[in-house]
Amino acid sequence: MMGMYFEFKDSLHNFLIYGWNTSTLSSFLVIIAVCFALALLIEAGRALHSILSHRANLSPLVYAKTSRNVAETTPLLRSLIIPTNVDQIVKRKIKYHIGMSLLHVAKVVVAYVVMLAVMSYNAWVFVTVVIGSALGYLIFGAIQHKITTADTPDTHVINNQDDMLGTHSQTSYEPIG
Amino acid sequence: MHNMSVTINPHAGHDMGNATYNTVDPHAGHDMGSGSIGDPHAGHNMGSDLGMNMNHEMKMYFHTGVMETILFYQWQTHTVGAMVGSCIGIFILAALYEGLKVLREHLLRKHNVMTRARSYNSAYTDAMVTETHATVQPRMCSKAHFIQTLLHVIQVVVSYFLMLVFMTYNIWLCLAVALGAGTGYFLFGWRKAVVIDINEHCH
Repeated sequence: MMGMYFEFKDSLHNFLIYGWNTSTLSSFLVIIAVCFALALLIEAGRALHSILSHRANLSPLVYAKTSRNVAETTPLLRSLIIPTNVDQIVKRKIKYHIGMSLLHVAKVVVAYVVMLAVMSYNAWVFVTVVIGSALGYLIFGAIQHKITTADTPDTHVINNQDDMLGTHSQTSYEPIG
Repeated sequence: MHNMSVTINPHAGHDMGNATYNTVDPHAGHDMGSGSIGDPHAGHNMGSDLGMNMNHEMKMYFHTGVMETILFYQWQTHTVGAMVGSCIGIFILAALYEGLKVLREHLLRKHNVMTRARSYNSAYTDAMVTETHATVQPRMCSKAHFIQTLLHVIQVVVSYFLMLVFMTYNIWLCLAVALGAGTGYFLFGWRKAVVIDINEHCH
C-alpha cells in the first residue's frame, strides 16, 4: 500500500485515473487547479441546494403563479391572486424535487471524488482542497445567505420562519453529502 | 509512492484468479508499478508463493472490473453476477442512508414540537388567562435523545461504509453509491418536498 502519511511531493502518480501522471511542474499545477475547482464545486453545490430548497418552499402568494399569466407586481394585487388549483403547486414542487435529486447525485459524486483526491496523501492537494473549500464557502455562502434571507416586505415573515426551521441542513452529521 | 505490496494470505482456500483475470479491464496487460521510476520493489519475485495467495494491491485509480473485495475479506466478487448483486445491495444501502437522514430529521422535529407543546402552562384567573411557556432544554436522558444518538451512530457507520465502498475505485460500485443516494433522496424526500401537509406547520 502507499505510504499512509502526508508528504509534500510535487509529483502525482496515477491520480484518480489510470495514467494520469505528472512529469513536469506545469502538469502538476494543472491537477492542483482541478482539485481547487472541485473543492469550489462542493460549496457551490451546497449553496445551490439551499437556494433551490428555499425557492421551492416559497408561498404561492410570493411568486404569484396563476394560470392567467397576469404580471401583477404590486403586493396588494398579488395578495388577491390565488392559484387556481393545488395541482399547479404540486407540479411545481415535483419539478423542484427532481432537480434537487439530480443536484444531490452531483454533490455526492463531487464530494467523493474530492475525498479520493485527498486520499492520495499529497499535502499540496490537501492544502488546495482546504483553500478551495474556504474560498467556496466565502463566495457561495455569501450568495446563498443573500438570496435566502432576502428582506423584501412581503417575504419578511416567511423567511423568518424558514430560518427557524433551519434552511441550512447541516444539523446532522453528514461527512459526505 | 509505493504502490506495491505483498500480503501473505493465510486463507489459502481462495484463488484470487490471477490466471483467470479476464475482466473488461483495458489495462490488463499492464503490470504493477507501471510508469514509476524509482520503485524499489520493481524486481520483487513471486517465488515466495509457497501455495499461499497474494492479494492484488488496490488500484488507486478508477477502473472497471468484476473482481473486487468490498469492505470485508469474505465479500469478494469474482463473476459478473456477484458484481451486479453487490451493486444492487450497495444501491439499496445508499438509498436507505438517505432515508435514515430523513427519519432523523423527522424525529427531531417531532420531538421539538412535543417539547414545546408540553411546556405551555396556562393559568386561569377570574380576570384573565395567562399563558407562560418556559424554554425547555432537551434533556440528556430523554428517550428521544437516546434514539437520536443511536441513529447517529448507525448513520456514521453507514456513511463510512459507503465512503469505503467508493474507495474501491470500481466505477460500477461508485455508480451504485451515487445513484442510490440520488434515488433515496428522491424517494424519501418526496413527502416533505411535494406533499403539502398543512398539519405540520404553516409555510
